[in-house]
Amino acid sequence: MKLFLLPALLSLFLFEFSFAQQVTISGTVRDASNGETLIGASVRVLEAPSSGVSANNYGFYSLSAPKGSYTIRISSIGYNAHEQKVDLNKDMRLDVSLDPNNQLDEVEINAVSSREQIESPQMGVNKISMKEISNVPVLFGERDVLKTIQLLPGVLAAGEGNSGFFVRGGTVDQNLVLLDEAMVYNASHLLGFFSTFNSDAIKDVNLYKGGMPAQYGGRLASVLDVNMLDGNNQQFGMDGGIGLIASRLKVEGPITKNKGSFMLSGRRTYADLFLKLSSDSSVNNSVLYFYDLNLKANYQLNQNNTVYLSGYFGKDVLGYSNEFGFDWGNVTGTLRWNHVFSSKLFSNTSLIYSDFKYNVDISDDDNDFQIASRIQNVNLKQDFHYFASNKSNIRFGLNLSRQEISPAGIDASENSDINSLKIENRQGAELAAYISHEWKPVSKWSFLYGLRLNTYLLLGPGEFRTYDAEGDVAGSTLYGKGKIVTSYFNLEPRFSANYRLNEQSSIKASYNRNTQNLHQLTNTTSTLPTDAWVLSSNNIQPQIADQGALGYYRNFNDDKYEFSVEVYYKDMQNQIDYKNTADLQANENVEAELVYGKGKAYGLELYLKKRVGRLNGWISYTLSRSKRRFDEINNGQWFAARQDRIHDVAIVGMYQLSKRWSVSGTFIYNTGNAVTFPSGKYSIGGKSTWYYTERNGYRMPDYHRLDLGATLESKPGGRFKSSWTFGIYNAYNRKNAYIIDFRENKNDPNVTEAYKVALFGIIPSVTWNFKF
Amino acid sequence: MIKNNLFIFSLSLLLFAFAGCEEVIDIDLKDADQVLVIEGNVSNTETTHFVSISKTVPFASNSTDNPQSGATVKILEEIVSSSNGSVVTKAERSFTEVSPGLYQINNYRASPGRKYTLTVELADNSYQASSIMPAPISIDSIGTVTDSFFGEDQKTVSIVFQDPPNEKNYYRYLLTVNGKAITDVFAYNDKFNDGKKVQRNLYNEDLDLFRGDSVWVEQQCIDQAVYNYFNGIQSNNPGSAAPANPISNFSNGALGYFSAHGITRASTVIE
Repeated sequence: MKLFLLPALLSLFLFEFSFAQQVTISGTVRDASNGETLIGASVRVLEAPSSGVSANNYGFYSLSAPKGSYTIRISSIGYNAHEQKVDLNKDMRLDVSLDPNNQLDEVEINAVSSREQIESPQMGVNKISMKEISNVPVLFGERDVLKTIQLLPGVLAAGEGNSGFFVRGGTVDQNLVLLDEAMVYNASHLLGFFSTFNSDAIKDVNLYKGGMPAQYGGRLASVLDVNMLDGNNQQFGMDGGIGLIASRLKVEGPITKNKGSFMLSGRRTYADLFLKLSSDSSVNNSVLYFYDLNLKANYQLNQNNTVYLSGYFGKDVLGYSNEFGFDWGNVTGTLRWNHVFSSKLFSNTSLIYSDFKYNVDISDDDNDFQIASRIQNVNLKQDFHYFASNKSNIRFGLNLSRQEISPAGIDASENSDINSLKIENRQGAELAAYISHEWKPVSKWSFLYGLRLNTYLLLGPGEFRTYDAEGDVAGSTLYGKGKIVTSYFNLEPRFSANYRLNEQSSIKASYNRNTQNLHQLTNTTSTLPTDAWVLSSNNIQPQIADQGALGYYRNFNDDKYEFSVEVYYKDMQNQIDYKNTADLQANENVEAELVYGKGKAYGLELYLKKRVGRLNGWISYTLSRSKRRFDEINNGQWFAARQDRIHDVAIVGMYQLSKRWSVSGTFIYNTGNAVTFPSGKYSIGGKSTWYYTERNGYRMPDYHRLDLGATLESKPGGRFKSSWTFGIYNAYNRKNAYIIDFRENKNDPNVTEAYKVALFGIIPSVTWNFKF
Repeated sequence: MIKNNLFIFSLSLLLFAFAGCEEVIDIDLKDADQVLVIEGNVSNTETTHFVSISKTVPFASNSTDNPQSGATVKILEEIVSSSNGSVVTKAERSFTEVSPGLYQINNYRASPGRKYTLTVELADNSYQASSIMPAPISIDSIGTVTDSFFGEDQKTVSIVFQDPPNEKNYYRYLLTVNGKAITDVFAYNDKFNDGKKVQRNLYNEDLDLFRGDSVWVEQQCIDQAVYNYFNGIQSNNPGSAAPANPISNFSNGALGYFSAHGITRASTVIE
């Protein structure tokens, strides 16, 4: 590690030296109304128009210039810009608070500055503002981050009404979902119909589909980086809503004005209250609900030190009568310390905890047992952000994490029909180091390049087995506590470059390698909380993806419109699938059921967005393929992955009708999933049995849907504000196929038929929101 | 099974809450080349046994009937000594075709612990499968259990037996109600209840049982390969991401299975 840090330190000194005559102004940019830090706020010296820098994830900026008198302009879309004259003789601190502006034409809050996509070397990234998320109509009127990002190019919904998503031909478990830097293992509620992200508590959402900066690692396909709100440090406030499915309440306020604040936000569904109305005792004894609790507090110890504590608790509970109980949930906790070493060196130290577990309880006459599983991660991160100059900034850091998986076992009572079954826990450790340099050597070129080193260790204690081709145990070795069973070392280069064609257009290219040591096994079409996680091991190699991409970006009409086109090609190694009729449950030899192969995904993504005005929204179109190859499947031929949807279109429009009324609409169309259907039949024991010839050789029918929404705001004036949101999901009542299956005709078993199950027809919703 | 049941249970709760809908649709399915299907069984309780040979048909066909005549079907019995591993091979016996595609052998009884090999020759191709017959396990009792699911009572046939400890056991059940065979697959292993007194409920959502119905249960103790075959069929439920052909114990690409199994039976009348 020392060797690795050496060039980083060396480059710091070099930059320090070459810009020694310069002085630096630094500080934090906040929203004046609530003290929230403004991520991505732009800071410029008016006398030197090309001097712009933007604030980092904690609102911190650092700008250098030769000694002199300047006018500093600090701006962020949705806020009145702040201009201030400064005499820059030595390094100085300037913390600024911006007033929100409430003009109709500029409705986006926390949006990126209008030319970010032209100027930044980062590619494959999409940002969505909370304003957009709250305006997009969704199922049951529950605003949802994950369902909104599914409307972006290159992102597909995992299924009808499902918050799981596929990015650029990857699987759901290849997405790294972060909430305040903590990994969220299972980002959905109620078998995927709702996401774990309560929009009330969220400040900012970034999705990286490619060109991942080196500070992120651990997953192949994407990083979804969600930041929670810090809480209002100016005054107390309450926010809430009552909807069809759930109610929400948020409380926030200062701990000490201007110094620290807290935010507490909760949500609970109440569908099960309707079950109580049933006269049947087994039904009214049933439960079906989930809740979310987000909390965050921050305190500014002094100008250079701020601490943040954030946490998330969520749980789903399903229960039928007293016989069956099933609950699952995530817990995350993040403790962070921001420290400003100097006007140029910003540091963040994080201690992060993530946990997901589920529990099944069954107790009837003869069975009394529990199935429990848990996955935990403790992560210590040290990130540095060094603002070498206005043209160059460097991020580097270390990341040490420890993973523990308790696979699902069975804990049965003495007189139960069932035996207890304990499966050994598995532990892994990862040490990653990264360095990433963003550099604008000349006005037309900018680069973002870096390297991530990842060392993964599978650790004892436990019995570790190898398997032969038939899946039988070939050998077994016992390892003591903390002993290294196997290790993998991966180098992950990341590179992207931006060439400015002119003020309003640019082309970019990127290459990145990502690796993954935590894998989820699923053999069902929906994402289930019971899907097992496994670590890379002596049998399972780390998944590796190499992605190259090329893009063209253009703004027009005074930056009111932005357009982008990106093409990508992704090569994936060590992909995981299962043998036919694999036994994935409570199986200590689950690794014997897996097969390993290759994947490739490629596509074209078009995106046109109107950012401002009474009418805004976007159109996205994706043309893509995603294929897999396994020796054991389809005679070793390439076949379409389930998420291989060739065409995918999303149109999102929002229109401000009047000061109080706004309307919105979303239309989506996509090619159906690749799916396995029979190509013949025969009879076994008098039952029609299907003859399959090919994995994923068929297509589900095309999917399309129109959703509509309208919002009525209360009359302006007064502190208490309220609004009504009306929504219609699936407005023309399209019966999209959720499942297609085959069966014997009930009247004539000799005749076989295909049938489809459609999940949601037209579903109206209404939500009442308030704020004071 | 536990996971599938969870999935189905949870999905039905959701469907109950949000009301899904189901409709028969037309799908254009490919017509694959026809493939040979062999289904053969021998057991300890019968002296007449059958092998049926057919080929697959297009999905849209109005019958699965596609019998294959003119095959040579033979069975070989081997006795492996448990003490010294020596093998005694008995004389090979032949089946005769009694109706198109249906081959029969008379005066033949299989015994637990012995290995049976079935060879089918048809159109210059040879297909072979072997099965070692597990010992039958006695059924202690048979009855019905009643579950109430969202206010509706459902009766399920249930049997109780003692699973032998410290060995892997695989079961398949045939259910007959009022003389009519229920064709659903019921295949189980003892992964979760080795050595236990097991109550096995033969749950079938579509089967309504009424007072006075007479019910027959045949419990077959099958070998692992045959279990894998039937488990393969029952794993192909609507929730599985990649349905596939169950793995046959026949060589040379034939579909189907050959099973030598130990049978015990029980019957009852629904009260």
